[in-house]
Amino acid sequence: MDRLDRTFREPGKKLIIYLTAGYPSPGADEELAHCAIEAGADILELGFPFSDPVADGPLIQEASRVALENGMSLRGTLALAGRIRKRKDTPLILMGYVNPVYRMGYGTFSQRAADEGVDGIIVPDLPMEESGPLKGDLHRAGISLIPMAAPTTPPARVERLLSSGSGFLYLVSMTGLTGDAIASSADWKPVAASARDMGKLPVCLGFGIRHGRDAAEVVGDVNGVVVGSAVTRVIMEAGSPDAALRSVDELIRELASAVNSG
Amino acid sequence: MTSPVREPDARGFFGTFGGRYMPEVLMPALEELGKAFEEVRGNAAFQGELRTVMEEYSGRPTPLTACRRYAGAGEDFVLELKREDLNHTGAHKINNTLGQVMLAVRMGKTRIIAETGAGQHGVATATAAALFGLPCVVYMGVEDIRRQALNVERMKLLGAEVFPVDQGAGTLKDAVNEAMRDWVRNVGGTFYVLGSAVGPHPYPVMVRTFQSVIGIEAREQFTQRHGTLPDLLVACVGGGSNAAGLFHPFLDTSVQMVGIEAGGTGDDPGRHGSSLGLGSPGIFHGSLSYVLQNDDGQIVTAHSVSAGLDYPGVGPEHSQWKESGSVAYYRVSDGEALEATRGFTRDEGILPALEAAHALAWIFREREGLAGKKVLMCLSGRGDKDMETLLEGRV
Ligand SMILES: Cc1ncc(COP(=O)(O)O)c(C=O)c1O
Repeated sequence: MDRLDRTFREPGKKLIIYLTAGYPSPGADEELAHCAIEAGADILELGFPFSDPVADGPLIQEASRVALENGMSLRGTLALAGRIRKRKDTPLILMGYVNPVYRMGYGTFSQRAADEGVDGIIVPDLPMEESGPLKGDLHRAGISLIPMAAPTTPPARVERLLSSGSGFLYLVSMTGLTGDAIASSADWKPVAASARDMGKLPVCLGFGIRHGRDAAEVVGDVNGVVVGSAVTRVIMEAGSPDAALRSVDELIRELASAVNSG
Repeated sequence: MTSPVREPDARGFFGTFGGRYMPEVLMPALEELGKAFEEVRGNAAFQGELRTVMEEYSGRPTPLTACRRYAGAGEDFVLELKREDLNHTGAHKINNTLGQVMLAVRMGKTRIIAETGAGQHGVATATAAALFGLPCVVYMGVEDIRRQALNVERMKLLGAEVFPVDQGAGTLKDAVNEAMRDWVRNVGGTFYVLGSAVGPHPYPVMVRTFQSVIGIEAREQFTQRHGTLPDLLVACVGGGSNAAGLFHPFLDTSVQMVGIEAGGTGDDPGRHGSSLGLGSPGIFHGSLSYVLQNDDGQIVTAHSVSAGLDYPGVGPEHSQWKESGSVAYYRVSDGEALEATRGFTRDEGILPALEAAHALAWIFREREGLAGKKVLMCLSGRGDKDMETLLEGRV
């Protein structure tokens, strides 16, 4: 939690990079994580795979499927976070659906996550109404439950999300799935503006940001951007593990330079 | 046995089960749907209109039929069937889809989406959408498209677009995932007609309420014919809508209730669809309920010879009924269900849906213990759709 707060207190916009644990293979995921951080990710988001990712588009669905086939699990993701933490001080957040966490037990999960140096968690199918029990356990372990908002979220609800959440507000750019193209209508802007006015948490925009140009276009209105499917795509399209590292490095450098000049 | 919770709390919990575990994008839509549903629940005009459509379009009330031969019924015990197979489109599913599509019209929604397993819910949704003049997209797993080819063609004739889902095992769970993704993308004008008493609040209570017409009618018909309540209710349980519709109007009585899940080809993971019998509590498709999952909380693929029971989850109200002891749940294998289908069709001249045949098979198995009893079973649908499976003799 402290790492997240510290990161957002430092000047400049933040780049958050999402990688699926266990994708494209155990081992390669860890190398990609270090590569992402070295190329300019300010915060690393590690996805723990789920069999039924209803908020994800085809790219992250496929990465999750492969990760599960590779034997990746929530336990495995926590272990991966711990290995990354040994070498890097970058904030680490986990992202994934609630059932694996529920199954492990909220208390057990929170303790293990703290032990591995995890700073926060994003759970797309755990809305504010149902988040009480997990939040209590996470809070005791010093981990943020990062709230999500969408263009459909009314202002009063944004306010409640901001007061009850911690870390930052993850603003979904559209009524869509991960990997969808960002809408030119920019329905997220009013939500970003009202969240900024309320001023309780930094706001980071995710979903649909594919390259430096997208990032540069939106970063002025928020505190940071999250990029996931675009990273997954270059990994998927790379012919070899080395090629994946090279393309991820290149994409993240491009994104970082757009975000930093924003 | 503790007494069951009759209605969910404001957040959609039946005791500890239920809730609304969905992406933030959908929360305002679920809120809106919950309000609209509560409004029509007590609205005489809406209920009157729904009743008229049920009668004049779907053929309600459906009759009770007393069995004459099957498993010794007629002689050793009374077996009355609530004939949901005689509904328009051949299953109980239309009770729910007419209700939901009328609600969609009232809410000003302009597009209908649905998932389907057996194709019965897809056909019933496409039918209701045709009746009310709304465009309709139905998500269906590729495996189900293969085994329910006739229903696919029916949906297309009805003007619906059938969208094949090839993720996972290509069955009902994958179709639900894809329908939810569609709803996330098109939440503004789209109404998601969910086909069973599962999903995020208010779906479980809404679907059960629309299906309660089964139990309300059956209770009156049974008491008129027999001068007393039945001793036992039996229904098959996929997501649990026909069972909940039959059971709920009897919760204030001491009538015993039995739900039959898909036992598939064995008790190992991946071989059955017995969420209540062999699963554990988890959060899946929007609610906390019994689910088939592994140690890591990954959802395990279900299996059943009947597409409508081939689902790894079950409605939260059933989980609460299991925990409170209000309903007992058992499972019946693919083989038993197929055998019951053949035997029952010969004995009674009615071809049952493979789903309903699970309930029939349990009655056959338990026939000795049923001597002297009065049993009321929901015959949830007709079996025409299963002809190919029956011809293949596949188990
Ligand atoms: C005829 C029939 N019976 C039963 C079911 C199972 O659903 P539920 O448990 O919701 O009644 C289905 C589902 O498609 C069906 O078509």
